[in-house]
Amino acid sequence: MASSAEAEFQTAWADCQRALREYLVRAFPRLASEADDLLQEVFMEAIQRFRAEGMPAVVDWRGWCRTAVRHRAIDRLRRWELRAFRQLSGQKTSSQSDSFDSSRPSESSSSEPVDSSPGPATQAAEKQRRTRQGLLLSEVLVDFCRFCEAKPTRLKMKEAYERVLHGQRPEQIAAAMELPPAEVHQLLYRARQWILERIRQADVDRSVFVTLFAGKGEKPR
Amino acid sequence: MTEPPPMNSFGDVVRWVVEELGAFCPSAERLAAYWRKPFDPQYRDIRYHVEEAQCPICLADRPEKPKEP
Repeated sequence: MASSAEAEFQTAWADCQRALREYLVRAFPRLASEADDLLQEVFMEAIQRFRAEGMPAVVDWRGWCRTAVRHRAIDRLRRWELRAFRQLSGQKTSSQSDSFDSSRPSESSSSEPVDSSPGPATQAAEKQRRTRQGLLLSEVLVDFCRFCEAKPTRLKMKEAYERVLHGQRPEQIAAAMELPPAEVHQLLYRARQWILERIRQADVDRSVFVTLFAGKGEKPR
Repeated sequence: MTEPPPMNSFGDVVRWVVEELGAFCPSAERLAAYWRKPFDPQYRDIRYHVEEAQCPICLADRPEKPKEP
């Protein structure tokens, strides 16, 4: 039998289910066709967790539900991220990785046939590495944002780096942010250094770091 | 689910992660504060993220009538 707190959650869920669905479709249009399935999954998991771990002290159930839906949606999309890296691992060797962002010199994407010389063990290791890198890249970027948000002085770095990832050149960023070009270069340099340092910390066997910079003339430090 | 765009390089994956997986979204607290004061200079990075980069995830959170400065 449901506790009063669980009943409170169920009532809140029923009240905001339509709004949650609308939010989900607007925020993650690729998941529109499975919105109902995803919502059901979130609801069932929440109930199971509450029964196993007890009810959390939640003031804003509507916000709590929206956050849960958002996390679940991103988890689903990350499966595609994994798949993309698995496909890449079948198409390229580690020496053909491309630029992390568009302002850096980049090797052109290769359309050459896959080199079939590596054995199954090598290919399996490569797939595992790509999989881990895919996870790491999205997590590192989220960590980077939280790091920047922790101090107001770092917010310019976040904005400059996001602009780079959206394809802006440093001079465009300088104009848009009304900053001297030298400062923009400095911000981008610091952002890249932070991200690389985080990869270096998390990538125990350094394989991600090596993969990112293989063939660029940059050496892991 | 609609398939993502072709991802033929790491750059493609990074762009997709940024544009559709919310890798550059602000924290929920800062986003909520931004909706209350969208022209406050301390939320300038969010203004870029929402208004120029058009992050669909954050835009889906936009209140019906944002407050004027």
